[in-house]
Amino acid sequence: MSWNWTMADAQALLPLMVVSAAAVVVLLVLACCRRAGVAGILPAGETPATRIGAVLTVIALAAALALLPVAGAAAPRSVTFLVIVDGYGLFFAGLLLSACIAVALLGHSYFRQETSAGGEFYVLLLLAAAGAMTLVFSRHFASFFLGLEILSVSLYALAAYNRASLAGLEAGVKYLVLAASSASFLLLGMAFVYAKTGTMDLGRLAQLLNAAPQPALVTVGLLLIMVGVGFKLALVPFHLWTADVYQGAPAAVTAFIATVSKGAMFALLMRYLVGVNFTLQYPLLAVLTAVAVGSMFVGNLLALRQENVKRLLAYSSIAQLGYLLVTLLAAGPGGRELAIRAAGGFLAAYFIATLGAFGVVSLLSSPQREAESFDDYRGLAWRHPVLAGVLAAMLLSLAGIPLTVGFIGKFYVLAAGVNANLAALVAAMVINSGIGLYYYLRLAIALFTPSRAEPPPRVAIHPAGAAVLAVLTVLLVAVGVYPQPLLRLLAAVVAL
Amino acid sequence: MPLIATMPLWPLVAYFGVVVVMVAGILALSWVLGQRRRDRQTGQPYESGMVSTGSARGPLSAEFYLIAMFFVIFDLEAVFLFAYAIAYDRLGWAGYVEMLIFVGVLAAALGYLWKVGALDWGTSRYGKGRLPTSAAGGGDSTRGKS
Amino acid sequence: MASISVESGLILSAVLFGLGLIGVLARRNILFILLSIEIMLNAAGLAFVVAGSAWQDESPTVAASAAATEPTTSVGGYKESTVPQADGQVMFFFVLTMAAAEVSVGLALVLRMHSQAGSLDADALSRMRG
Repeated sequence: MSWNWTMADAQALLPLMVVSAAAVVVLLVLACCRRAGVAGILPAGETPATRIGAVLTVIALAAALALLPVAGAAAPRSVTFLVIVDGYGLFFAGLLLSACIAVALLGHSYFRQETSAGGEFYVLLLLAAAGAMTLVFSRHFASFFLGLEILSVSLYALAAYNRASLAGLEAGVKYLVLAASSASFLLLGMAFVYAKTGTMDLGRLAQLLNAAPQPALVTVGLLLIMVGVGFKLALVPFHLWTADVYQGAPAAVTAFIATVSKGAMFALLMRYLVGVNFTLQYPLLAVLTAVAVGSMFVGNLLALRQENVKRLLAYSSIAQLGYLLVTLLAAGPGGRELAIRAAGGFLAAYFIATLGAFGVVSLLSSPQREAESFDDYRGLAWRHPVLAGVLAAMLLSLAGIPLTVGFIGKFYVLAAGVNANLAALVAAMVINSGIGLYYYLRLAIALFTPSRAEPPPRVAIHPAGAAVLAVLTVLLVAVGVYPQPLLRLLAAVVAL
Repeated sequence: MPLIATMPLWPLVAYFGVVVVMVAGILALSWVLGQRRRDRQTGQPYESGMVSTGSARGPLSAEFYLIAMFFVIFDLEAVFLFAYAIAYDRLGWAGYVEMLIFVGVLAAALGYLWKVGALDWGTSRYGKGRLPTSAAGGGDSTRGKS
Repeated sequence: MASISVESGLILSAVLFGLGLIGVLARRNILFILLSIEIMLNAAGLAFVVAGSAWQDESPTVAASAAATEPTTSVGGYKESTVPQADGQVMFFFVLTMAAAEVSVGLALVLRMHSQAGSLDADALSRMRG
């Protein structure tokens, strides 16, 4: 099978190539400067490896972000039968790359004092970013699987990255065992589907699903694939790992798992399931509906009594993904455009608020001590007024309070649900928004209640992390008050 | 698979039979001809050598795990080289460049491992004072053995 | 030699997969859990090889027709060819590679478990609750 590269192919793949090449370059640079001892030039307390790694990583990610419009000029284009670069993919790639930049900066401020940790954090981060982008652009089982695994394997190491922490090790081992098992479910499902249909092309499969009800083997295969996908999205009943991994991993990595890893997987799922006529695929519809409702209720109910902030955010993210699934079910043959716009808006809002919330946790934590219990946050408004305000804003956005971007996202999802006459799902979502309000506000109020206990040690806020939080907060309010630019971007994405 | 499909099956069965008969024969002959005695040292390993001490299940040096990891990874990449070798002429220059990138990434990873000190054995790396500190580079190996 | 049907191959791989899954659920030693995961992955790989052998004589018209029905996307510079599909086998390569990557990260974590937790028991490591 011969295939010739054209300039347009290279142009379309440019962002992905930049990120992948950056991973190799950063790896080599780290290997060299580990011994070279550039320490004299740099401020005390920061190891050269972490500083150089952080700078190179952010430059590479920003370059990839800037190259997205260039790639967009060649879109829509499918490069080999594995990868498709189109407006939809580019929008989500932009979202993922921005989140990766935020995570890199948060990680830098988290690990800055850690002399034993080299800069490998950034190599793993770049690899994970490349995997996530591959997922978003993939149109074939092979690229789907490869993207997923590049993402997952980097995340095992990232979750256990904190060498001093036993909880981090537990998080890494748990994530590895469960992610590897779920990946094998996914693979078995793919093999079943391929055995029956003879195609691994995702677009072709979506067409087959739309054409007629499928034989049992294909349905079983699709459900097995959904196990792998559901695990990655932490949907009920595959959510059991979420709280432990979120709690054990360094806060910056947790932010990555909650946003980039989930966002990339959802973008892929959405791309191929959004147009499917579910009335022909009844088992799939029933399973997805049950999973959506279950995720909302289980996530929110488990978060209610939670005394650990990282676990609370973990359960809240399960519920948020439940809301997001509504857009998928709302699509149907007619509502494709609205559903994609709703999902894009909701995911953008979720990214901003989740990165912000975990960003505050990350800035208050250090590799020696994670600030995760409620006591660390009681009375935060007196110790770090700005951080307390930022965290409160993020929580209000997650709860979907008006004038925050979270409201825009949730409103969009509800509109899509109502438009598709999904009464039960919309009702579940409204009930759960009520439940969610309780625990988001519980944490937000705790920030402003004076604490009688001994205050935790004051931490210095690194400028990189502070800058990330500032940008996120501005976006949160600006888009919440004036959402038109985001809506126009989403409309353009659907059109491309 | 025309080659396999046309080959007769009986030589394999005959071979299997010959092996079974031969092994059984050797065992039976040595049982019939050999002498039997039951002394103090008979049941021990190294009957004629040193007396063994301690358990055979001692801890392995953690560095063996490192070798295992490197082997598993680098060995498997050869699979792709073989796959490319079969079709190199049909893949043309594009395939050649892709393989170059592939091997280049592997070489970069090897270079990284080398620089980090993961390929140093024994005690030499303590002397040079460059303990590997990466999560991937296996700095734990130094403390992993008990 | 009689050929083996696709269904029996898939059943075999499903049985293997089940064995691996039981291992993951029942074993407590992390090394055996990793071993069981390898069995699950290889079972899925076997299923791919079986599925691939079922479609190996098919020329890649499926992909071509998929491209034809998507007018917005052009499929690079692919030429129609009569090379049989090897997709199943190729996926098996990927599965193997990924299993290797997974097991080496797994072994690195095992080393840390041994040195930090002093045990390879998965339950001994489990401390987080709530």
